[in-house]
Amino acid sequence: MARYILRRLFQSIGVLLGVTILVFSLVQLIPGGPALMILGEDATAEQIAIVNHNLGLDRPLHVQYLDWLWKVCRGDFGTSFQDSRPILPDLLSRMPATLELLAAAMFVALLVAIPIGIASAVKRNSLLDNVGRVFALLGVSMPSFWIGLLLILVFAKDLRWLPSAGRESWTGVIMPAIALGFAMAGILMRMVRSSLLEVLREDYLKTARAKGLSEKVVILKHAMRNAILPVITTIALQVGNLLGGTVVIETVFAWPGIGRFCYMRMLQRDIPTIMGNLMLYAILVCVLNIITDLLYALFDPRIRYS
Amino acid sequence: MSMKGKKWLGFVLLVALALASAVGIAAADNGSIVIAPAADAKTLNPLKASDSYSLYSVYLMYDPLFTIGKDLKPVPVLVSKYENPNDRTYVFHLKKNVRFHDGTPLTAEDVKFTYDFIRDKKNGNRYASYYDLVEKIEVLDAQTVRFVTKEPYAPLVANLNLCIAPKHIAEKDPAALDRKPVGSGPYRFVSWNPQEKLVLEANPDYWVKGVPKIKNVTLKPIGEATTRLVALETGTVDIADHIPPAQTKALAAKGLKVIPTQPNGYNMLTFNETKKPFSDKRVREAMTLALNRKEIVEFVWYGQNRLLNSSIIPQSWAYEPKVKNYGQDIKRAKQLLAEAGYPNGFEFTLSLEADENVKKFVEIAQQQWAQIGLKGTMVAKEWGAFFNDITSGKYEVCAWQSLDQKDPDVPLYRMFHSKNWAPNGYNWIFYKNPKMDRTLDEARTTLNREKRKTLYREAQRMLSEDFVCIYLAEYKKFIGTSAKVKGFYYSPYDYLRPLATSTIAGK
Repeated sequence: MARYILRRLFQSIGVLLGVTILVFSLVQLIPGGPALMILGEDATAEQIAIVNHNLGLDRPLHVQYLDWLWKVCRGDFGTSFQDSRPILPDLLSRMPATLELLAAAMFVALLVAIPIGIASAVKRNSLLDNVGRVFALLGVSMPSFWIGLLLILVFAKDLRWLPSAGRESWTGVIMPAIALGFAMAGILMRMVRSSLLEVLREDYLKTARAKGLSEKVVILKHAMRNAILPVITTIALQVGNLLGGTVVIETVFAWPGIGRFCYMRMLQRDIPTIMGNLMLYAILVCVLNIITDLLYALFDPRIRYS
Repeated sequence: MSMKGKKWLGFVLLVALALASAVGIAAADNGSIVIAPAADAKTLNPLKASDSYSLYSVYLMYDPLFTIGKDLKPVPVLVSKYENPNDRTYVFHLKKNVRFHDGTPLTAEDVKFTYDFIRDKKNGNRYASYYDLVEKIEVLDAQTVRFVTKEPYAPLVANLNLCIAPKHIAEKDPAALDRKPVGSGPYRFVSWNPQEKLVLEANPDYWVKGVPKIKNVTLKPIGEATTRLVALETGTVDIADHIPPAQTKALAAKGLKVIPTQPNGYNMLTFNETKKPFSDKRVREAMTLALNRKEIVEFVWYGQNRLLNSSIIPQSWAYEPKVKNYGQDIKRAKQLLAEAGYPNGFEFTLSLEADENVKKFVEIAQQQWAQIGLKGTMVAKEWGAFFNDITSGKYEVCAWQSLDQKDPDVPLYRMFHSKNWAPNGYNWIFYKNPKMDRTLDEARTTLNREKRKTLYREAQRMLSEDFVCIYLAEYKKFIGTSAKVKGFYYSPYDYLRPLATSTIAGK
């Protein structure tokens, strides 16, 4: 087990390197460099050259990348082009807000997807199933920022039940979590439904019923245990999407997380912040993937990591 | 009650509790005010700040030498009086008893340090080129500072509206002010968590007696307009930045105040004059006459912003009221196009920043141009990418907002003098007219305001006759405040500073 985890961690290093090289190259392709953004409208060619030199951007790209990488290996994420503050503390201090949003969105998604998915599969082609499928389709096709704005208009503006922005009170997380979790709920619900439908055809369930077990036990204990595996895979794959979604949702709800912070910094071409954020997100996704693989073993006794 | 029933009751109670606590959220307590700008400051350092969101905070914590009044003439702030011993020299006498928040007096040394820092190109300040004509800055005594220019430079005083930084802190490490601002302004720095909130408190020793009245100021940036509006409506914030023009009436109907800011620029469409066929004046004239500018302005700005005909706004002392107000004349436009060799029109690209309001006026212009056979394709990009295209001359026609009128020299010299052709300056229209160059050179080196006025009026007539820009609405924004906020206004030159003399009713 420990060896397996170590091996996976080792593999993750390769992934991280690949991702950073890719993004570092992509950032260079964005038109309008950091110097132009710092100097604004009055930028002259001469001033741009001076600022580029001050920021070390006049060095060859591979030198810039290796320099960045070497510093990151020593735990130095550099300082922001924008406000000269060290990046890592600013990113880490925003991490809890983003993780909170992520967990809440996941909770919303599971809370909605699992019961509806099960009901949909068990009562296949019933009214309930159809409503459930329409709901899933809506979830997948409505953009999350739009759901967010609708929620704000209804629950913050008209009903005044929830705050429209910020993280001052714990109720602030409700709307962003719903907006973010809704799309994932749709995808998960469809996954639960189809995967459960497949399992329901299996012979071992007939055996279970023949033994006289109640339908509740048959579905929740015997069928779900097998049906949940593809769902876990989907969750793991969706975490990346969810993290990407935080950028938009945090902006809509002025949520003080890492996504909004980095979105603003991206507009300013603050390369060190973009790279730092990327690093943290990539590490997070890698770790969550390893955890998912470990969860397989928990649910499926046939899987053993040794 | 059954077990199931009890569980439900518990759940309902929990939800009710959540809602009750949510409704209880109120913005301000005693003597506090919460402001929602549309974006956060990039930096709090007065030696680096140049975008308006950074300057929001800087002007609350620091003082400038001058600000700009409603008639666009300089108004002294830290200066008690000033004189011109000769055309190339300005002597400024500073007010006494001005102290930085750490107790150190603000002196002529700080003024010299600040402007020497800003004008040194190595330091990468956006405004460095505004002081190209400054030869040296000398400290005469603690309260007196002398600016000597290389040649007479009339816009100098208006350009001395940047905030003064403390030399004793910034000299050793200019970045020290990034993290811990020490100004002389009405508010003191408490804490800043970028993109989340900036907390300020009243400076009890401020040099203006009885100012500021509001004790605590919190700035919480909310980027999304809908979220910001709802936060104002529900009382989560007291002042909300950038109310979309479409929403002003609805907000006012709900008992909130909508304050238009002083206009400080204009919206326009303009041409890259190095590109054919826009180098032909007849084409530019045809494109101007094809538009019903009045209709566009009415529709896009809901009749709240006035239609302009010049690069100088009517509030300015240098405004030329006799510039032509071009109306729509499709027949003449078609005729001009035919004369220029394009009887069937042509295709071109229309570059713009991806902003809802800008997109709206570009779309209408696009439709109106189609009436004379011109087919414009919109290229909307995020600001940085758009701006990069413009300054590198990669555009044909573009939509632009020109946003600085502190001295007529600023909007005219930078943009229309051929010396400033991009990328070495701000003239990315690539306009070149030797007569314009002479007029603008003379206007900036003449200290007599009446003479300057005559010259700038001539320059505005030239721009109008050369069809350099298609002027649309004046630029101003709308700030929403709750009814409790009294005496607040927003100035495009000292931003949120009027907060210092505002009050909150009943607090």
